[in-house]
This record gives sequence, C-alpha cells and structure tokens, in this order.
Amino acid sequence: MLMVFLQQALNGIILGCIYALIALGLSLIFGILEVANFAHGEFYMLGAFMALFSMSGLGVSFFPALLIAMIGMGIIGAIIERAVFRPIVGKPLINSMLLSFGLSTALANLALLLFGADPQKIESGLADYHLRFFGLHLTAERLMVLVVGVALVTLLAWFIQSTRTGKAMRAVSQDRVAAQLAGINVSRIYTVTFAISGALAAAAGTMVGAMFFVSPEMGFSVTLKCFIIIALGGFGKIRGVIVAAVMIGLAESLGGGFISYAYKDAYPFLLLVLLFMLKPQGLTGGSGR
Amino acid sequence: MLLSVKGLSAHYGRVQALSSVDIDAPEGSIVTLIGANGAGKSTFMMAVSGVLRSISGEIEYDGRRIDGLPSDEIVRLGLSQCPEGRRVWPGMTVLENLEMGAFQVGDATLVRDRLMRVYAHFPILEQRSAQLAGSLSGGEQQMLAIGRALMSGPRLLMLDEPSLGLAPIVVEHLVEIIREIRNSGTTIILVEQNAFMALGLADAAYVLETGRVALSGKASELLKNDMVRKSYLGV
Repeated sequence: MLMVFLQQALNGIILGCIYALIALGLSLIFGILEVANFAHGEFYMLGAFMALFSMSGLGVSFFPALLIAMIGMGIIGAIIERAVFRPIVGKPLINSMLLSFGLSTALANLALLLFGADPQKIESGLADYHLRFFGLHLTAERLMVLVVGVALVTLLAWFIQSTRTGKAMRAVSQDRVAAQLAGINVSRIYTVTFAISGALAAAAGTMVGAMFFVSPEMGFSVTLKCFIIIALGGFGKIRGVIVAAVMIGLAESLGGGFISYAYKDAYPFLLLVLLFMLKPQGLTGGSGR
Repeated sequence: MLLSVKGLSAHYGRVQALSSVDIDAPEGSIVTLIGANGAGKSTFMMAVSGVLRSISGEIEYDGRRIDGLPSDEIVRLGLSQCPEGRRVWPGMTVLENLEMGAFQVGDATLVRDRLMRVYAHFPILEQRSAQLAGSLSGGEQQMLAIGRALMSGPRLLMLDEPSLGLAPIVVEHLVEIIREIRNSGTTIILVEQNAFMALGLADAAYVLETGRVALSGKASELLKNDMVRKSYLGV
C-alpha cells in the first residue's frame, strides 16, 4: 500500500513538472500583458506536433526535436502576440478571453484538419530503460521528463530574477507606465514573454507526447488545469505556481490511483473548490507579490 | 529652448484634458507648472513623455519634433519623468529599481557612475539597496523614484508632485536636491501643488486652470501676483 502511494506520488510529481512548465508561461502572460490566453493548451499541442514531425520528417532524434519544437513555438508565440493579442492589450479581460477561446478552437480544429484525429506517439527511445530503487519503478523517459522539467523551471526562474530582460519583465508586470517612463520598450517585453511561454509549452507538449500521446484535442483540459494552478498559486508568483502545479499533479495521480482513474480530471477542480473554502486568500497568502 | 510645446491638446475619451497649451523650458532652468487637481499638469507630463498618445499640437525637444515618438525613444533622447505617486516597482529591490532606470544605458561603467551619484544625493538608498522598494517609507520611495529618473542621465527631468505626502523637513531636503540637479546642468520641469515651494525654486512658472494656461511669467513675479497669492498661496 505504501509502495503504491509512493509510486503514485512520484508519478504525480512528474506530472506536476509538466503542468509547471505550461502554467508558468500562462502566468507570465497574465501578469505582464494582463490578458488571459485560453489558447495556451494549443501552444502545447502544436509544440508536440512540431517535435513529432521533426522526428518523422527531418529524421532528428528526440532531444534536437525538443529544441526545434521550443524554438518553433517561441517564434509562433511571438507572431501570435503581435498579430492577435497586441491590439487588445489594456482592454478589459473579457476581450482576451473571447479572443483566445476563438484562437484555441481555430488552432485545435486546424490541427485536426491537417494532422488527423488519431493519437500518435513520440518515440524518445528512453521508455525501455527501467530504473528500480527502494521498490519504486521509473522509466528513463520519466526521469528525463523530471530532469528537463526541473532544469527549464530553474532556468526560467534565474532568467526572470537575474537578467536585464527578466527584470524588465517584472517591472512591466508591477507597473507598466513606470516601465515606459524608465525607457523600457514594453512591446518588446510582450513579444519576449509570449516567445518564452510558447517555448515552455512546446517542451511540455513534447514530453507528454513521449510519455502518452499527441493529438489535436490534448490542449483543452490542460488550459483549464493551468488556470486552476495559477489561481491556486497566486497570479504572477513563480514559487506559488510551481507548488500549485505539483499539488495538482499529485491530486490527479493519487486520486487516479486510489479513488478512481475515471475521474482523474475532476480532482484538480475538487482541490480548487476545497482550497477556496478553507484558504480563500490562496496558497501563498494575499499580501506580497 | 530645450523643450518647446505649442498648441498641445489632449483628451481622455471625450474629456478634454488640455486645450492648446504653450509651454517653453529654456536649457538649464527650472520651470514649474502649478494648478489645482485636474488642471492638466500630469496630463501634460504624460503627453511629453509619450505615454499619452491621443494628443495634437507640437512638442519640440532639442530642435526636433518628439510628439508621436514611443516613450522608450523619448527616454533615449534624454527626457526623463518621475511620475506622480512615485510608482516604484514594489516587488523589486531598491537597486533593481535604480538599474531599471538605466535600462537604455548600455555602458556598465556609466551605470555605476550614475548609481554612485544617486547614492551621493540620497545616502539612505545605498543603505537600503537590497530592500524591496515596497517596504520603504513614503519619503524614501520618493527619493528612489527621483533617483530612478536620474539613472537614465536626463538632460530634461520632469518631476510630478515630488513633495506630495512628505514631511516638511523632507521637503526642504528635496528642494536642495532639485537645486543640485539643476546646478549639475539638468533642466527641470516641476509640477507642484505646493505652489509656495515651487515658485521659490523655479525660474519661470505657468499656472494651469482646467487644461489651459491661465497665467505665465517669471516665478518671482508670479509670487507677487494677486490672483496667484489668493488662489494658490492662500495669503
């Protein structure tokens, strides 16, 4: 029983890493542009397809394909920011909600039209290596997801904390007008934010495509879960979002293992309802940023 | 003229905030704008800084038109604003706030020099450099906001209500600092509700009323003007 618990907890943490990559991008976009991007799950889906086709079309191996997907979605993210979101920055939130819902549907259906509905798998070549320790079981593939996920999240945290562009991103999110007056090119920061978020989502999609499947509709539920995560973790708080992502991953994995797998998508929402009843100020409290 | 504004009008939606305002700032001077709340003083500043875009009229800085330029371009040309209400980034440290003030400055030694100069003006900022800006007192935040505006190395510094909410003794210190900044060669436009302080400090003054220039002239003369004395000095 304990072993099953630990095994499910390990799987939950790996899932949490994936969610953290997607939710951090969503949270950056929300904090810096003050728009809600309901098409974020489609960035993740398109990134996964990009990796899949790099491998089948260009014949590259898994890690170069991961890199290609990240760069590709970074560029597409930047283009989408300029073309779609730029005109509505500063408008009420409902504008970006409706717009991005539309974009989400359009991208998912475009993918369905072009790539077909059949789930496809990305072969990382790591799934056949098994690691066993303390009675727990882990494939090399899942270990890779854990390592890449933690590395990317750490890299992002460092970037935002220490680089000039990262500091400018924080400045824009805390006071846009003050950032303009300091000579920060705010539009450029918007583009960079979308590029980073797109790249992170693509990395997550590629790794999920290796562990599970790639399909045009894989983005929908992920977008909603990631909105829960940033609501739980506190908008714009990196550490809060990471904690919340792991919590959601654990809830899904443990709930699926011990209660019923059929309701695995419901557990994160139950957790949200519970948390808002017990701790309405959010995980990290109401004060601070 | 370092800054020459002609016929500047601005509006928020359908509300006219400035109508055909002419204001000049000669190089090396302190020019003050005084007026009640809502007279259009901050609107003027935001229009010159390129933050407020719905404007008409001409803004000429150092011989070239800058109306319509993006705000970061205007900062690069040497025009910097310390906005009303301080607007420091509360979740960033004092040092990070100052560094971001020099966002356009590529040269690290130059940034270092300016940082030292800001610390010389406001020693408290050096002591608090690792603290979050949101944890500073109001007066310290005001010093930080001015310091941040100086980090870009402006030729023209615009200060919007720097004395607001400060204790009288801090205001005195502020007056000294503003003089020092001017004496080091920076032209200053000072927006103030504290008309007494502003007129004592400035060379030229403009009185704004509901978006128009109601009166202008030498600051020393406006200090003696009956209308100014009654409406803004309370004597």
